[in-house]
Amino acid sequence: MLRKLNLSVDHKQAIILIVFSILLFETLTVPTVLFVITCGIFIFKGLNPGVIFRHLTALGLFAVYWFTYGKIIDPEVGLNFLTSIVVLKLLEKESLRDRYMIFFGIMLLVSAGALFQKSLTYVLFFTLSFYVLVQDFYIDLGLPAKFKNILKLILWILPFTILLFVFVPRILSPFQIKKDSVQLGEIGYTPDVNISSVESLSGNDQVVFQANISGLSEGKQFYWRGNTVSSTDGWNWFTSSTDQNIPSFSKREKEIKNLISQKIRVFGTQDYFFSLDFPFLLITPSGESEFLDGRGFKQMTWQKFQRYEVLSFEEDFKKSNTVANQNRLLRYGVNPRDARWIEENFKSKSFDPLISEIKKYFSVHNFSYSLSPGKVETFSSFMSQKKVGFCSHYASAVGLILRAKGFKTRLVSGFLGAGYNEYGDFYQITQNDAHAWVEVWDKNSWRRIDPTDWIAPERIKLGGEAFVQMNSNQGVSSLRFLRPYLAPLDEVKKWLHHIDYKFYSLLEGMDYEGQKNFFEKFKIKKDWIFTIIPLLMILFALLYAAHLFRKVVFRSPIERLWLVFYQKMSRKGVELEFQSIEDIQARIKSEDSEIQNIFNDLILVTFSHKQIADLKKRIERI
Amino acid sequence: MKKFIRAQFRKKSRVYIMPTKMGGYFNGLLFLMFLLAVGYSNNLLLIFTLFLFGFNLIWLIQSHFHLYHLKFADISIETGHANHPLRVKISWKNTPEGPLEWKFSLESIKDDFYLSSLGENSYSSQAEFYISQRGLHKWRYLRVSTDRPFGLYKTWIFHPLNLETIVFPPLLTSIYIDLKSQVIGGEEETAFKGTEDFRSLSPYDQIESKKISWKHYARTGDLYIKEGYRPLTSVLDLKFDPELFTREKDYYLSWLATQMVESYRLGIPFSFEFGEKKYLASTDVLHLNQCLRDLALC
Repeated sequence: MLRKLNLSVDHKQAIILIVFSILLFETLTVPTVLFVITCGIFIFKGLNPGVIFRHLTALGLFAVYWFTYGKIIDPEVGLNFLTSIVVLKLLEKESLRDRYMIFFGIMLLVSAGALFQKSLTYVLFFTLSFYVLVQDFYIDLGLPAKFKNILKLILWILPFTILLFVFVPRILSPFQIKKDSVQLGEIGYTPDVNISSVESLSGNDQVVFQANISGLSEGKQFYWRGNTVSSTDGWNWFTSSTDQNIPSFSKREKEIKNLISQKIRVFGTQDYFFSLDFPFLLITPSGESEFLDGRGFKQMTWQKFQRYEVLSFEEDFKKSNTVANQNRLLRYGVNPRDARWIEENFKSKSFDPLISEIKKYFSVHNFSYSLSPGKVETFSSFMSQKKVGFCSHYASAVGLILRAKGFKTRLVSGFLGAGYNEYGDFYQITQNDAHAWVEVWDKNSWRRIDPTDWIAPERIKLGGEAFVQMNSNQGVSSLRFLRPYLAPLDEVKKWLHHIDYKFYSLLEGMDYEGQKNFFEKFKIKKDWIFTIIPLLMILFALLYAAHLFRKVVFRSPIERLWLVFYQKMSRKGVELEFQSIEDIQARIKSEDSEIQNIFNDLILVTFSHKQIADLKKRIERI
Repeated sequence: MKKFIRAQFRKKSRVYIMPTKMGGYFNGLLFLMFLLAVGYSNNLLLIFTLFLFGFNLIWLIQSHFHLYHLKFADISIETGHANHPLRVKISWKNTPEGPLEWKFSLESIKDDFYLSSLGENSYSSQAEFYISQRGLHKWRYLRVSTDRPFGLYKTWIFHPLNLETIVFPPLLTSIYIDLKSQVIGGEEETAFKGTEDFRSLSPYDQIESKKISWKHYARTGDLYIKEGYRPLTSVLDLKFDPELFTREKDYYLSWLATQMVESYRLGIPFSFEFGEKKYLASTDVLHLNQCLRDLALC
């Protein structure tokens, strides 16, 4: 099909670069993407801007990156630079060196994109573009470049790649690419509940994690706990040192049954471990650690786990109350003026009547749910004037009321909801599911209060992703009338997600701990890798040396044609090798006319340097 | 010491290989990607990097084989004058697939000379080079290098040679040929006359080939002989003067060589007296080469 389009090498390379920039839209800056697309149009139109223009553009992009990132040595900036340089080189392609440079540049670029883009779609893009690039390169060099030639090449390389993948030692490293996936004004998980600066929130369907859950009772809501926040300035809530567990990994001594198990796979790097309420035990390849008081469990700097398991109880299991015993959760951080206002408006002293009173207050005063409430800077302005907000506003308000009324209260930031993928039997949680709720220490256990449920019960029922999709009027979501027709597409998307999930479960398993466990299965110590690798290198060198001793004879295309002809005739019982032309002529005299024609054509090709089409095919048909 | 080291390392079958500038960058970036992949625990990037590394290794091996299996059949170097192009023809077999683009250099005991390629096919290459020094040059190695087929690695081999080339003294650009002692011949009027352009010509009679008018052959394609043309019978007598040689050594040799070459070109027989050697006047190419050889080696 590509052949029918009759695309030149330049066109193909431009298409690869454009697709690359679109796939990495979130990583590359807007100027880079626009630059790639503009240059792509230039290439398709056959335009070739002058050297000065090109140099000025390069300088301009340099300035853009400098001002955007404020640094140069960074993988993200590096990728932007490399993309711009390669596309610029494609515009000024002049010499053979330039062609080489572009080919190798695009190959490196497409590979380096895996730093930021981890999906099966990207793997597919890599495979296709790699094939197209290598084939064009080989054709350009006059080397065999048919599908079978490239496949042969790849089949040589794949075992080598797999061998090295298994044996290359992984390391523990504090350097992780941390992409600020949640921008200000986007829905998304943040450990703190900081609401005074947010005016409105837009949808963000970026996947945060996937979870394979077992032991879940029917109808249970998916409250995914990320972090607890107990410090407040009277409206915003922050994480304090008492909100975090200190990890102390050890091996579990006995099996614990009747718990909800969640095998979680995190996308990118996250600062906290996520778990369904109420978490009890965190299981990582390094060991296990208990959650205390349901407090946030921070990921370690040196080893950020992308896969872990959490065991949770259905209700708070009253394991410990060290945090609840602290009086700092009581009235701490509530503004005295707000406290007076709360005392005046909420008279109940006991918990349940107070909750009913708050609910009634919200109902009577027509409080509503909106992702675009405008700036709500204080508790009093929310309660008296704005009366509109989203989960964080309500959680903060209720939290403050409860604290002011003498209940030990904290906020929990996490997610509510999960999209089920029946193909892969896992749940997928996106940034749209980000949520905040309140926890109150009542009757020696933490009790969850979700005020959003009072205002927007559909948010709780549907989950964040579906709720945002339903209420959004942005982009594709605004074309709601098309939704019934697009349903099959959603199924395809789900199926692809499940393939992706399986692929990455395999791929990500081979990390520092995964490799260690893999070798332990074969009773090999991980440190032995450092011995195995030199041994493999020696083996490779020996194989190579053996190959050097092989006698290799390169034959010209004409020689090859003659050889095939001899072989075919030999199969027919006519030996022609090492015979003079006259003898050959005499021997094939009795054969059919086509063989004689082929022989005559071979003579013409050999001695008159004539080009005869289909001669090879004709010989092979003998 | 340098000679000893060269002799130790330059084995016939040894192919030397080094990354080109582009190969250096490519390998550097691959290494950087490897560090990033391991450092950031990114297995997908690690697989891509290892896959690219596999390609890189295949390209390295193919670049190595590109020269490793090449076999030399023959090499010839034309004799010529210093500061004039000397043509080299190299034939080989077992040429690999893909682009060749060989670069050659010849190594003598004293110096290395880089050759400019004039063209190549699967079986042979032609190149030329310049030498400023007259005399006998003994060639030890032919160095063949290429950065093809992939441009990432430069490979080279040293093919041992046992070849000598005599380089004649350089020619002077303008020279006055001293014909004082010669009998000057010329043209005679004959009765045979044609039109203005074909005056004094008659069709070639298969006998007097020296009288053929090549100028008219080029124009008409027919062979004519110059009627009334008498080949020049003048002779140039050259004598090697040791005194002049001591005073203006190279210029004097060049002056003599140019006289000889010009005489040969014009068909004027020349004789040469070189010490005790005496060469009789002739227009033969062997005679010329012999005289020039004496000049080159003196």
